[in-house]
Amino acid sequence: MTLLTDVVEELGSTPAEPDSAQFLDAASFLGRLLEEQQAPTAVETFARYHDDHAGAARVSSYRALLPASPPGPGQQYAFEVDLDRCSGCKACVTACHTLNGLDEQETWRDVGLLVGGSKSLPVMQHVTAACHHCLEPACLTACPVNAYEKDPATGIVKHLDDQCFGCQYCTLACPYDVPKYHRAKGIVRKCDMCSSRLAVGEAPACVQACPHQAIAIRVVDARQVIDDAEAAQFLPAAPDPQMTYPTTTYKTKRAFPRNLLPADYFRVSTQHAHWPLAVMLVLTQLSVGGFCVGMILDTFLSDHAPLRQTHAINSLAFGLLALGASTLHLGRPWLAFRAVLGLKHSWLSREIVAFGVFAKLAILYAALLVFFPDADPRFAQWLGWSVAASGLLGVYCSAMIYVFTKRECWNFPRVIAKFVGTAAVLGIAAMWLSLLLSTVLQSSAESSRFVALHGAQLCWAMLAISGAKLFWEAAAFRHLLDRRMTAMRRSAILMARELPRTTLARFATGLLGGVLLPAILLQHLDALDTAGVSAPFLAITGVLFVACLSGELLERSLFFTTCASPRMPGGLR
Amino acid sequence: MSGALAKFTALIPPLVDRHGPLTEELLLAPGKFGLGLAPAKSTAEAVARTVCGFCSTGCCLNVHLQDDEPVALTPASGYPVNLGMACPKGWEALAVLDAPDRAVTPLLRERGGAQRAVSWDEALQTFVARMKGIQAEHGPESIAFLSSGQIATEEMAFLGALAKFGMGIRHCDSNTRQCMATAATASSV
Repeated sequence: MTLLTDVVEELGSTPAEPDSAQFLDAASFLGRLLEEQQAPTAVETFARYHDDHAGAARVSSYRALLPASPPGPGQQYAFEVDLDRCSGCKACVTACHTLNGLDEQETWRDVGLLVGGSKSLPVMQHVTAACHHCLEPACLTACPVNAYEKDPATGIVKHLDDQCFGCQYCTLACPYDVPKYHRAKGIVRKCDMCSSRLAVGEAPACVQACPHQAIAIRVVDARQVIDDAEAAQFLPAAPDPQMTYPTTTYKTKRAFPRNLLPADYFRVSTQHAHWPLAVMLVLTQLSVGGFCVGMILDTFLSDHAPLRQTHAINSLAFGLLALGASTLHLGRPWLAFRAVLGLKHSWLSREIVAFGVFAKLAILYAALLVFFPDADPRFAQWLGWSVAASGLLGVYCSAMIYVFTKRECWNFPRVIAKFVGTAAVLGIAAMWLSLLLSTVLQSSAESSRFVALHGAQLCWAMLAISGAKLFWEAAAFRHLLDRRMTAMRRSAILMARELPRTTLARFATGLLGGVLLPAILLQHLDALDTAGVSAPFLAITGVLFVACLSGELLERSLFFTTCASPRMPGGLR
Repeated sequence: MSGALAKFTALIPPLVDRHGPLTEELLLAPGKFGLGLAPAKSTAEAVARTVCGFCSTGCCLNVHLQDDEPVALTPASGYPVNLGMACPKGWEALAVLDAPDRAVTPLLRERGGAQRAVSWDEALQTFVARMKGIQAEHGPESIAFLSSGQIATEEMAFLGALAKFGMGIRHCDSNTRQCMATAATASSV
């Protein structure tokens, strides 16, 4: 203001002074105005000084939102969300993003929506959610490298970023979709309740930022959390709290309408395909199935089965390929050796160790058959069955990885039926491939002997097992008729409506390789007795193998993409 | 020999790694200016106070500066309007600075509908010529202006004077009615 008065005064008193041109020069005039505007006043200087020398300035505004004393024995810190205060503005989401220095598109807190009520009294309830710092965190149990810790004093579930090797198993195990995979860094990151802020008396970012003070940190009793979970008092339509005992308290004074459902309740969305995992599962099962089928033929159906050398090498090759594919799934594969750390609690660790043993035994067995064909057959058989047993143990561990997530479409019978079924189907298919390879590379005499001995048995076994497996898979479509939007109905809808081409291709290849071609082979078996193994016969076995393998790969891709996961209420989209 | 061995073993990643570069990246350190803990990449070396430009509430925001470049932003505590709070748009107010679709030059819509970047001079000349053309053909009352609640009172007065006395415009409205009033009514239902 002083400047303006000066200008007016100067202009008024001495209009014709030569130096007034300086004021009338727009650039320097503006420059002086800007300079004055930017120079702090005494009040501003004082205020700045005050700000600079205070602690975290906002402490007073959130002191009531933090617990007065740290948790005692049997207690821990927990989020408390006052639903009556949450307006769904998402300031908590953006503040968490900014104050924790997260990358673009990365958020550790989400806001969802529950809708219900009647036309005259509609209800829209926003729900803010981050990590629930569970009493029994599924992420921690699942982690094969012990990259999760639950702080014994505060109960905060913390992720050790440098320990993580990016297997993403925690993202499948957590029912609340909390751990988020960071593709560029190859690791998972998650909310740690801003533990470093709490340690110095500051509030977590979300608590600081909420304009309605809807989020608070409280001390909760573990006993209370368990009791609440028994009565399923967590949040309407959220995953069952008994899975992991989430500690967050959602409180409200209002009675929710009975028809309250997440806004995204009826939306079905395809899940991550996890291709390296699908390939690894199918190929390990092929390899294990191959060894099992070989051993069954060798032990129970003939004294000294032909082709067993070729078949052992064949099965081993697929096994090693599978182990190679599995590392492609890791964000940081060079740390794969850390997987042994979680052996006590993680099915993924157990799977990796079991398949590690399987691979070594399989190499020994194949080497024995190739380099010492005259070795004691009883020893060879014993070693062969050890390979099969360790492989089956590995397949069981693979299955338990998914059973552990407690998703309905991944329950024990469903996963075991699929995995063992794949092992059986592809084990037999691999036998046919071994026949093809042996005939092309060596001689057809042994092949003819093999077909005469086991051809019909393999065809009938393939027909029965493939038929049963395809029927079992197709039976999932009965859930399309479910009245309630169950997890199984979501899966069936995903298969039928979202991914119809993949589904069709899966059943087409399955029927071709597992039913049609074995039936045709069966027809030709009689003619082979005299003519030996013919080229068309071999061509059919080749196509059979490729069709079966493609079919099982597609089945496994659907296994991942169509498995509806439990989740917190999402928003409208 | 032992030196080479030590070098080789140093290459093997440890079995348990609690404090590596990935952990450090998100480590929070005490900030100056009463800003509380912040990760290194958004710690303020200096703070510029600004008023949020998204709506007319007038929330005060602290822009964290490193080498005179804004790196992060926190709502100013102690400021009577927002008391240390901001809405998600305010929290993300820096996102527009280097947004690829940010308007940095006038765009002139051509006949086909495509927008062409032009100079301010050309933009203003075109604006004036077309406005005058419409008024000459249909009369001065044929155009109206829509103002914003986000401009200062003095600017608002200037806009009114320019439009009414300079351009002969009779009709005007503003987003205080188009936007704020409707939102207020909706939220009070």
